[in-house]
Amino acid sequence: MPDAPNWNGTSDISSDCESSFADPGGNAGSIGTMSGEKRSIIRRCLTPEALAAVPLIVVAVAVLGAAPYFSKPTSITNMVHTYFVAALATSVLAAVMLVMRPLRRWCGVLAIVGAASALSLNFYCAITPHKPGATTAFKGRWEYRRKSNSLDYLLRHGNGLSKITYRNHIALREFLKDKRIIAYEQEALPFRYLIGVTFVSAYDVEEYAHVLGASGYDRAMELEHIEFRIDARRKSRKLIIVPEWVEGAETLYVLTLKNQPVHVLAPRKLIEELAE
Amino acid sequence: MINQWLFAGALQLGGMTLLYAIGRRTIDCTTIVLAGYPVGLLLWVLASLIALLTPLTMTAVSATAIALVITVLAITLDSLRRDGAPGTTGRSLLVGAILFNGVSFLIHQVNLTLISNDSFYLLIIARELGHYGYFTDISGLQLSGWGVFAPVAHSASVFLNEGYLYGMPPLLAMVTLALLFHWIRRSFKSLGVGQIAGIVAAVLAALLLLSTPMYQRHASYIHTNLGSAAFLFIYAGAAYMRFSTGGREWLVLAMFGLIGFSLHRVEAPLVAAIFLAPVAESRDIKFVDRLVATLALAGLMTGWFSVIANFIGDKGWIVTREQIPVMLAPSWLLVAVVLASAFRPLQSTTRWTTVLMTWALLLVVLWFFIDKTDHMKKCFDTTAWNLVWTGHWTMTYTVLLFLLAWTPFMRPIRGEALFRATIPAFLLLIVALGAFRKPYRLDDSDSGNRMALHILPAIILYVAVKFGRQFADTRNSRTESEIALDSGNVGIAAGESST
Repeated sequence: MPDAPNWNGTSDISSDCESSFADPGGNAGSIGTMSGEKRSIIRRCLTPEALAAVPLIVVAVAVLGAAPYFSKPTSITNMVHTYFVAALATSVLAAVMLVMRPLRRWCGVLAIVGAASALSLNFYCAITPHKPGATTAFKGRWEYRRKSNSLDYLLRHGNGLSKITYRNHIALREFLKDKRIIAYEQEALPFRYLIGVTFVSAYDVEEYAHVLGASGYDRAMELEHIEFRIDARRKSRKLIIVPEWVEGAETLYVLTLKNQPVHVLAPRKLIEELAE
Repeated sequence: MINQWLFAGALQLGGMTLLYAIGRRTIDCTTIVLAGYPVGLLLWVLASLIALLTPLTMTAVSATAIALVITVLAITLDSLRRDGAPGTTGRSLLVGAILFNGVSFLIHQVNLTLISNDSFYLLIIARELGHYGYFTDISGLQLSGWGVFAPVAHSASVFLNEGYLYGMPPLLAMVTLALLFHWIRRSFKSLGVGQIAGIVAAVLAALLLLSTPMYQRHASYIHTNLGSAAFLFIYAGAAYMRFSTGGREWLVLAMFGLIGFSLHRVEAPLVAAIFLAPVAESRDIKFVDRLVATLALAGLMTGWFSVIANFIGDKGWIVTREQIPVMLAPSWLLVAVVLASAFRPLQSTTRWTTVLMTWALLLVVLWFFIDKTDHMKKCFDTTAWNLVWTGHWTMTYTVLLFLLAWTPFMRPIRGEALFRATIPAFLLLIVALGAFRKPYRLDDSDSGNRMALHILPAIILYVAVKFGRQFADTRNSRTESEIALDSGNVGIAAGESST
């Protein structure tokens, strides 16, 4: 097999080759009529291997270098300190191994040290409460998810949403087909699903207002109402978001469908209209 | 619970059958068993997409029928080949499948799902797709902000009479973890490193991934990130195996991974093109294979984005009509690179593709920094700080970045191009994407921070193999044929010529 390392990893790699930079494989192409020494240097630099390494080093160093910039005096005493001491130790070890030729082939030890230190800290964080009196991360996560594992629960409590199941969403959707719906802009998951338009907050209103050509939230609020045409494949529906000050918008009305209580925040007038 | 477990089992069986039919000569049994589930999931999603986009309505029956047709077609096409005996036996596959489904059963016993607003949106689209069986204008419009993979996969829950597929994220997490362990051990073997060292490295790497809080969280979080990580890792790992041990079947598995990844998020085609570049420029892989691989990505993405363009009209959520050509251009550039590599005068130029893409991205980021200094500074600072502190990675990224910075000075490994240029390119892309949105925020649920999960398993694989290589005594390194024989795969090393 050929002896030179290959960028694409095709050929066998020589044991003499100690680094990607040291033996780029001699594929740099024609360099012109320079002296042998200069050509050799340029040839080493102008290889995909060498040039690919630059962004890697730049990104790694930039990310790690940026981190201490954020490290405020108060946080020195916490985990950041441990992070960088461990990372520095790893780095020094790597440097020693790379510089001392006999140790170079033992660089794998570095990875083990790094991984082991990361592991120990990862597990340490997982089993240690973040503040006095708090549960551990594992325990807290377990308890939180055990409670919140059902879609029903999530719909009821996850967003402070109405008690409604997806089955009822479908039924409601069918029920309200072709109706003109007016929904209060908050707490409107049923309508989000019914219509397929997502809006939960003023931020969403702003986003949609932007889509409609309005220039942001203020502009959206100036509108008497924002109107969306929702064209399903066969049918066309309208959804109108009514700002808070529109009469009746604050009224909570409970619509009962198939014996399932569904809380719909909408003007009473509309619900009455729908119920007809 | 039983419905979901049986469904997962059926997907795994389907994927395993497809992989066995295509790759039994080269791909080892463990990989076939483990990758069976994600490949089956991809098969289901592709079948569902066909049903959703054609006059057929997506139902359990139509999606299953299409998936079966695809599998039978693949098996039929493969049976026409007569090159080599199967390396993986049916019995070992059966044992593997039983073990996998046993673990899957345990996973399905507990639902620890974490759901956020994003999850709601995603499930809403999923339920709508499952209920209607076709893309409504609204669900289509929503997909300009989401990838299509997760919603379509979760839409199966309608057929199963369940709320959502709570078993999917933990199963994908388990597959990623197990494949990481297996591929590191296998790579160490091919490097000629001692077996114990291989096991130690694989255990450490798997524990490192497992102990990372972001990974744990996403292992039960209804979102697109863990799926992206799993599929990108399948691509990176399988493509690395292609480079290190040979066998075009690895490339097929890699492409399954890349296509699955590309369908997960709207910006994924950009990342996919970066990761496919080393394959496109490779002189080790046959011209036809490279052409098919690049065309598969470019063609599929063009098809999918034309569907999105049809839905979004002049609106669009995250992706707009104007941005679609930009999203697709890198994929078609790779097709052009492959075609150019057929001409001898251009061959030396094409091998710079990956590096040039990375440098171009670096320059783009620098340009954004000049153009939107404060905005980009905030994006970069936030990304960096999230990776090392606030992003819930604990120490994982800190150590990995330090180790990565040393890798250029160490002995090269085969298939290094898959990682060395693509890892920084991916991290640069995260920062670059910040230019088109509100600045990233210091939080583990931040979009940029979550994207860092996509590449984490691939980085761990690279670092483990790269540092493991330093243990290797090349005089003891075994040839590809020896590795193949040792793995019970006898047909791999023969006849993989270059262009």
